[in-house]
Amino acid sequence: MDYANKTGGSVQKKKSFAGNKAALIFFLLTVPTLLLYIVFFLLPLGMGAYYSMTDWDGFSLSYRFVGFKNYIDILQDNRFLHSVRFTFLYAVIVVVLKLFIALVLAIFLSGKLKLRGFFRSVYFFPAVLSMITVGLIFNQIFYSVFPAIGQALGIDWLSRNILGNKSTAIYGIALTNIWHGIATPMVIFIAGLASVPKDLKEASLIDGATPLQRFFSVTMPFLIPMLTVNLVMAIKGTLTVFDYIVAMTDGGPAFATESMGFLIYKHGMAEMKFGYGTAEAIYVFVMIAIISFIQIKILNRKEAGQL
Amino acid sequence: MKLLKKWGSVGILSTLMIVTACSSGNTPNNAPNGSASPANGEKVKIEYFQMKSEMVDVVNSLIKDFEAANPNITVEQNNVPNPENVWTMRVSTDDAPSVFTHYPHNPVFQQMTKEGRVVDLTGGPLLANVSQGIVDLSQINGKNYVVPVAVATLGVYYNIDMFNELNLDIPQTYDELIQTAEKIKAAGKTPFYFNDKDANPIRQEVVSRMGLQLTDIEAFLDSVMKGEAHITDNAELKPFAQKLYDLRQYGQQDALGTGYDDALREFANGKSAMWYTGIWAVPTIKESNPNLNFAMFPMPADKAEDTKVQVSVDTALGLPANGKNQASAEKFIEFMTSKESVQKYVDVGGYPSAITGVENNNKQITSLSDLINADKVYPTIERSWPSGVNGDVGKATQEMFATGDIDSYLKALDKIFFNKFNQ
Repeated sequence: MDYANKTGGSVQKKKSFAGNKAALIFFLLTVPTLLLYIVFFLLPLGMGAYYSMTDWDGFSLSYRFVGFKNYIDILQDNRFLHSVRFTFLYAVIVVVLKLFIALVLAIFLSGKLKLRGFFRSVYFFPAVLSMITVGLIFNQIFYSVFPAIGQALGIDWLSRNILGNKSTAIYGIALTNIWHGIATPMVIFIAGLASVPKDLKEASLIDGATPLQRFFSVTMPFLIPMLTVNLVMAIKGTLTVFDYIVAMTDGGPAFATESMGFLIYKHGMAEMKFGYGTAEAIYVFVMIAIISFIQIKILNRKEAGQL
Repeated sequence: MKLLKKWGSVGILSTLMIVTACSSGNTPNNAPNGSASPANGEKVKIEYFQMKSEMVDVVNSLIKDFEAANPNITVEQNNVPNPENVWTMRVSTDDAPSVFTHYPHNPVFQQMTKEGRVVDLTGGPLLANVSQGIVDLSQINGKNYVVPVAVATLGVYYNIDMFNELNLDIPQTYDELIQTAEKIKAAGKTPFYFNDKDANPIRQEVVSRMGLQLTDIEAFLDSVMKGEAHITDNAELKPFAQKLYDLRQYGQQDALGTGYDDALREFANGKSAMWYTGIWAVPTIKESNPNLNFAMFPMPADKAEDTKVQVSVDTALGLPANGKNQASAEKFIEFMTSKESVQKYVDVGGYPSAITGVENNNKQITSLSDLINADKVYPTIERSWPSGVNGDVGKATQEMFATGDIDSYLKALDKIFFNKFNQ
């Protein structure tokens, strides 16, 4: 009896114990990731915040704690403010054009088309190339191909290397990024277009909707989630632009094409102002955090309304 | 339950494995740090961290010779992309390579010597073979931290065939250079190719020409950086800037759109008569057009007798403080800086040597190396500038080439230099 009772009790106990134990195991399962997250993300973030308040050059044994001096200096630094303006202008140009062209191409490639598979591969091809390679190739195109076209057509600004001119260099870099970066959003849009139910399209056709009406009223709502993904990725990619600039202009002519990411690298690694560069990085971090927050808030609302 | 238990232990195990993997990563590096010395007949391994990728093959063959003579010492060559940053990172994390090459005019290297991270070699036996002029040039605050092997300089490349065809002589003064350019232009050819899309070569041109064509500019810029003077106080600078700008009218149509690689290719293909850049372009030009008949002459000063060449150390070997196997490392430096090794080294690299008694077998740069042998040299004036200043000078000059606005250029220079030492 006793024995039976005991077992009964322990069964009872075991249940709550099992619950606790399961929670413990679930917790333990997260430990590796948690450790990695702390060691490789939170810790460096804290260290960065600390270094941003020093005048450390990145390698010396000694440095001074200077408080918020770096943060105040940055706000008066024309070079940094210019890089912020450049980055946002660049982001607007690239995001708008890239997504628009990707959408048009996606619609084109989802329609009835001979050799559709072939064309899809052709338009996807740039995504396979590495950024630096594309940058270097476009460098040559801007150096030798475009000026020849410009001269033939008698267009003054195009008959010189557009990367060598302060006011046109940004468009050269943007064009390269658009050509190279169009494939991924295009594929995502194609996937979105495929998810539009055929019966809805047919119904709207029978109801006599024009192609434009059909697009905005039937197709568009199904594309919103894809648009969200593409927007987030494109904005993130353009606000942190770095590789194209290194490959194509190295921040020049003069300081015309220095993006925030490029300037941080320049200050931190080339000019040995590590503390200052880190403070700039923290400004950028805060800026992108705010933008992402707003973006997610707005787009989530849209998505909810759709369903 | 059992399943959870199983996965729980897998989780813990994997954590442990990650932790051990991380900690075991360091052990092999520390192992050779032990008390292995050649006396025990044990093999010693030293790492030679050298920064010139085009020299990897010749360095390997030199290492073979060294290992044959010193069977106890194994030398491992290490050449990485972006070597200066890698060196900085490794030295500051106490993982300095046993022997390395560096540039005494590099501000980061100078900072490292101030912190005592590099062995002071002043007056030591390792410098005995180096020519005195270059020993002096490569000093940092009066001390030598590296053994120079080869030096770099800049000059005007010229197309010999084109010069012969137009019956032109090598210009001896700056005015003659302009006249020569004028004649080439009149003959319907492009006198110069400029690479003004890249700020770095612009910086090299400005810095080297400042040192040549302005009197006592190094001392003057020092006083500006100390905050004792302004750029505009020097009356020579405005005409100098005008000269820089005026030379551009003898260039190709879109100099600001032409990068260094483009200019090199166009010169190699015979598109221009002259090109001003460093001697490092010689091997690449030969490679891209083996048939081009070209040579270099020094950038002329205002008076023929003032013509000198800027010398900066191109390859120089140094030792880290508290390095591994220091005795073997010194032996290796001794070997690498011997007359025989340096002769092999500069024959491949094409650079003038810093070691006395080594001959120059690179006929394109004869007129430059003659001046070096005659000690008609001057140091690169950027050697005392803090990090980033030279880059800013290059970019400010690029802006001036685009706008032609010399007054704003001088203002920009003043902003770059003024009071820099006190910031």
